[in-house]
Amino acid sequence: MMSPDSRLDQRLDRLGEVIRSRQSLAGRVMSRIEQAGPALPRGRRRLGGKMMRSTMGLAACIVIAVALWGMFSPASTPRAYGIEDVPARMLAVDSLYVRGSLYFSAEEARGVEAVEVPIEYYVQRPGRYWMTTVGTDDTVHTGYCASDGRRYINVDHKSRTCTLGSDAPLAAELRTASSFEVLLPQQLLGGQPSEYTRTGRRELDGDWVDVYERRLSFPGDGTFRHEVWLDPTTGLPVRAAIYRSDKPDGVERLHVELREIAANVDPPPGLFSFDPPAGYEVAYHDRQPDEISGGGGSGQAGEAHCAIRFMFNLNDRGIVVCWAFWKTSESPYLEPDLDGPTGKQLNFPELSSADGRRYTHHFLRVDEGAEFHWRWSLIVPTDAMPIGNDVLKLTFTSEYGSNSFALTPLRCRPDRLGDLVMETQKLTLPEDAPADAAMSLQELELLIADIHRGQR
Amino acid sequence: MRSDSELTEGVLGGEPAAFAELVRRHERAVYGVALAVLGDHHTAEDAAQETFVMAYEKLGSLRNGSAFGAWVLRIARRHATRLARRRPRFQTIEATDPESAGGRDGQLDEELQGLLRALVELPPHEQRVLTLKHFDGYGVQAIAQITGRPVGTITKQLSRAYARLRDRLGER
Repeated sequence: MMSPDSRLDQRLDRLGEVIRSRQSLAGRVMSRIEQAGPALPRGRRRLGGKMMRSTMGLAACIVIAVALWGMFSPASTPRAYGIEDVPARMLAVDSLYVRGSLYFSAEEARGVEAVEVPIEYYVQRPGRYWMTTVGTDDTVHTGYCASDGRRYINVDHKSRTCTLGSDAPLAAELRTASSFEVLLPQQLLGGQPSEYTRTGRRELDGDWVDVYERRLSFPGDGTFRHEVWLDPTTGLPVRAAIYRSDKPDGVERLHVELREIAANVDPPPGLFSFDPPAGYEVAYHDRQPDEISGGGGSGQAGEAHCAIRFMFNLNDRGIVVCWAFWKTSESPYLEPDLDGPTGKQLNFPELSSADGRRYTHHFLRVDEGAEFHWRWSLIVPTDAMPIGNDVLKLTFTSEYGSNSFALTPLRCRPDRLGDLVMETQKLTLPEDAPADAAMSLQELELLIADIHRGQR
Repeated sequence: MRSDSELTEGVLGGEPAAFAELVRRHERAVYGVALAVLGDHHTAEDAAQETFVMAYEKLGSLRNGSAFGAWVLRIARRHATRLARRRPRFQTIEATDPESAGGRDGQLDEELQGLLRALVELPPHEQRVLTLKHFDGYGVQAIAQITGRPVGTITKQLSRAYARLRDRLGER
């Protein structure tokens, strides 16, 4: 039996391998400090150091979380809906309009005063969206992106540039579905519904709404409060806010406010004009099939890259995933043990589940394109029970380190799921692939049943 | 091999290249602290880079150059905590990548993240010897040379660090 010390040693070595897989920072640090001049001898301080550091922030998209309300009336009326199933109820919403503001402190905005950034979203099924975009790479700046499935426009107010072109209906539909299922629940709730506590009721425009709250705190630092007002008759949020209190004064400040959240409404007039703002430089680019994706993400560890392009929850019975794994120096890169036959169980990437349930991962197909080898695979719970709210993670590990992705498969509406599963597969199939190479939803569900019967 | 103290003196004496050696020597430990606090590789890398720039600016305030390792880890921890407080919890559409609305990437797996968190909770000198050994692959002799401590002290520190780490991981 392995001794505890050697097990700990092995884990520390494995951690060391991950840490060592990152490129050395020395070159980048030295080029930065060259601008700062020589280090000052002991006892002397550099003027402007703080100002210089303030320009070195992370290039990140933004903002925060948390909430509260203070004065709540006692709850006596039974609720028709609670917060638990908000993400599921979003599936029944046809359109959603959200308007509010993000508030950046002077430090966050890398300026001399606090900044309020108005934000606005409108998303409508099957495939139409208009969304404010926010960048914080050096200063806070905004733009917007929009599509109606035939045309799209991306506008950047900082560079005063605009990209226009034709769009694919499938691209807009996947983006809309992703907004309803991933982005908007994240924006409205900021976390899992189970993290919230109902704190009372408030009156909003003559109607009573239920107020839910969750709190986050960081040791030695500030506290965040995320508050959501839920209409008990629809079970949907009608208002959300994030408050933040920082040391040293601990004063609570509004950080995000979504003042208006309206479901099943028309867009504000003129929103989908697709006219470039006057005076902006315009570029034209038609959306290409290889630019279409639905959920997922990408990451890198050393020379190893991984990306998830499509993910669908198959009626809670399984998850179909399209992914790629490659190395910079060997692109595309295909591991021999990741080949067929259909249904073969895969050991890569590693699967884990927040609920501790067991899942197996099965080979479907590899579509070898010029740039990437797109792998289609199927994830199945071994207990044959519905996946429900379980959160799964795929971990891609190589000699360079590892990268993980929490799976956020699109559930989509039942009348569209089958078509979307087929249409996305056709995007990665080679031109000369047989007509029946793509697996239908029904075929995938039969395969899941076979797996449960041990026939695969 | 020059000790941290000698390299620090070199930097303060007008030899910037000595700082590159300090970065190479301590970057993995610094990166590890940032990763433990921030939880993803990309943000941790930025935080580690900024930590060293701050350390360079403040180097004149470090009285004992042999304490550079523990000192820079404290800077890293403070800075990463500050960034963690500020980082996104409200997902916006990124201006630079309007199509990305979903995946969370660049994260360490849970077992290693737990180990890393326990590691950075150790006293700085114990954390330092463990990272020099496991992240940088140095042997006891080299660690003694880098830290300016006797070999026997390093051995004891390593032994105590393992014991404390096992305690924190609940493996005793």
